Amino acid sequence: MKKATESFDFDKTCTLAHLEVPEDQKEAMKKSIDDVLGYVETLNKLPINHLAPSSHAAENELYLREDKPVKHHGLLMDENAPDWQEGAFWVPQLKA
Amino acid sequence: MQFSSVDELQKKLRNRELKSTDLVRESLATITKQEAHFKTSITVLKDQALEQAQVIDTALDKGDDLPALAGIPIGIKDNICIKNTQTTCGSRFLEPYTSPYNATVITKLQKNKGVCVSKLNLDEFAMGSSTENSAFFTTPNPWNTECVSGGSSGGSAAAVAAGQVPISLGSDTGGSIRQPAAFCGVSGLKPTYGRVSRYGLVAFASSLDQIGPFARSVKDLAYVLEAICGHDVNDATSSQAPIQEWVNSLATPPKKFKIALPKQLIGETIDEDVKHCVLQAVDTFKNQGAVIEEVDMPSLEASIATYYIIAPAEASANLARFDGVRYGRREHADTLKDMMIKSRSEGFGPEVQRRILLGTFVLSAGYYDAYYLKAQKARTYIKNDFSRIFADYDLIMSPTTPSVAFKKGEKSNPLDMYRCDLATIPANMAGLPALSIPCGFSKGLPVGLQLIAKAFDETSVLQAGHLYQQLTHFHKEIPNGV
Repeated sequence: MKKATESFDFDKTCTLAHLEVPEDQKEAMKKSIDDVLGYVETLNKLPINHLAPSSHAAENELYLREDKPVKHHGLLMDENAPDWQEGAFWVPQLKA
Repeated sequence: MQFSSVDELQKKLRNRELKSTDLVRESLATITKQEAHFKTSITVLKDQALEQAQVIDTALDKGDDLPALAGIPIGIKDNICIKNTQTTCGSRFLEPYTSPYNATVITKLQKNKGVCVSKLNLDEFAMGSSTENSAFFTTPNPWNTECVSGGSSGGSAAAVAAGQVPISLGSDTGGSIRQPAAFCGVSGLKPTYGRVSRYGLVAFASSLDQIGPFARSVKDLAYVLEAICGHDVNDATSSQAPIQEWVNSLATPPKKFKIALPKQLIGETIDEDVKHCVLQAVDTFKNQGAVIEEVDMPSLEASIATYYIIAPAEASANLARFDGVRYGRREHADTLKDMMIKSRSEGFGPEVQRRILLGTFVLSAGYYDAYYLKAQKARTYIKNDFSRIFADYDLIMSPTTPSVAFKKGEKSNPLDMYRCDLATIPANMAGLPALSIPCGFSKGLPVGLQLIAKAFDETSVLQAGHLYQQLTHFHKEIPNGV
């Protein structure tokens, strides 16, 4: 495995996450993430390669509800949506 | 009434020596009086609480037989939705958000006639261990206001410790109920994953999050657990495991427990004073006939590293919904993408951004197997270690935290803060029920004792915790100046 701290591309990750970190805070943020990525490499020493992954804490059976349409009402669109007009969310155009 | 138990309040309410409206007024007055120095509440639900209390008083006057929590004031962590009420999650992003529906736990509390009086402070989106990551304010520790109340459910713990409410709800993803309970000298329970519906809890890490109660005593925790647990069609991960009569189970003398004490959680990483209190608790249990043995659980040392891959990965996916389109904060920009980036960047605080970035990276192409998949295998390793111990023991005992509450600003390095969750994270990784109860003091600050049981065996942790509280006074201590 490549060392994450060597290959962690901060700007690319910000783009993927839809986040923009101010220039003067970038270095500190990057360093704190590098520190965590360095720390989690301790997992490489564990005898776990043969184990099956666990996606959940307890493997409860999932109980799915009946596939019936639910009528939503009182969702407070007027109150909560930044721009709600004529039954739609209004947003800026895709390109300037 | 400030520090009365559910039993005491219930008796007075039923005898009509006390009105729910008076109890709620007292709770609201305490919140107001203490707000300048304890700062627990983001929103106080004065009008709706008094209205609800009035309805309960009318029913009690008529002699109606009401549930155990009827008329009792309850505080709610502000990441749990109450209909028509602001739910901020301690974030500027959700400051303008009003919940259009009730979380299942709120519906259940209302069915049990509990009265929600306050929405309580937390680290932003429950990410933190001190409430210092709240966008609004830090909740100080009622025992020493220079110290933190813990987190992320610091407001919920401090509100009970300060006598604002007898019970409150929090959520626990890596220790967010147990750590602040330990820091504030109250009792806190993280139930088994799936025991309590997560519907209406704003998601942080969905495979780890679990709602649970705070109270002064274990018996009061049992009352709340009975009220809020059970299967819910709105949460596919909620369990259909049978519900126990936990309050009644406390009346039965428990069996002689066989308890494991992991050496990894009682070693050099634990402060001497904390260790001393826990070892005294060991003696208390031994005097009651418990068998307590030191055990080796090597996986516990891998818990923090595993957690800081899995939790940020899930958080990065869960928090992708906050885009400024449908609800929450929107910053103006010329294009849709810039609007989303600007809204998120200005709406989320630094810790939330750090965890989103970390999670985005470990899930990104080329790194998924190396990080996320590896962490999921490490999670199996941790679960297997617990199964091995629970084949021979009823409970696992440890300190809840390596130290007592730290000072505000003391843990400025995020990794130092993360390491404080050493003892609490493992129970989340394996989905197990875990309790924190007060077991002593160090430098005037409370110390927490943690008890973990196998999945769905809340009965054992509650019985053991209740037994301990019959023999000790730590849970009855009250901070000076409240």
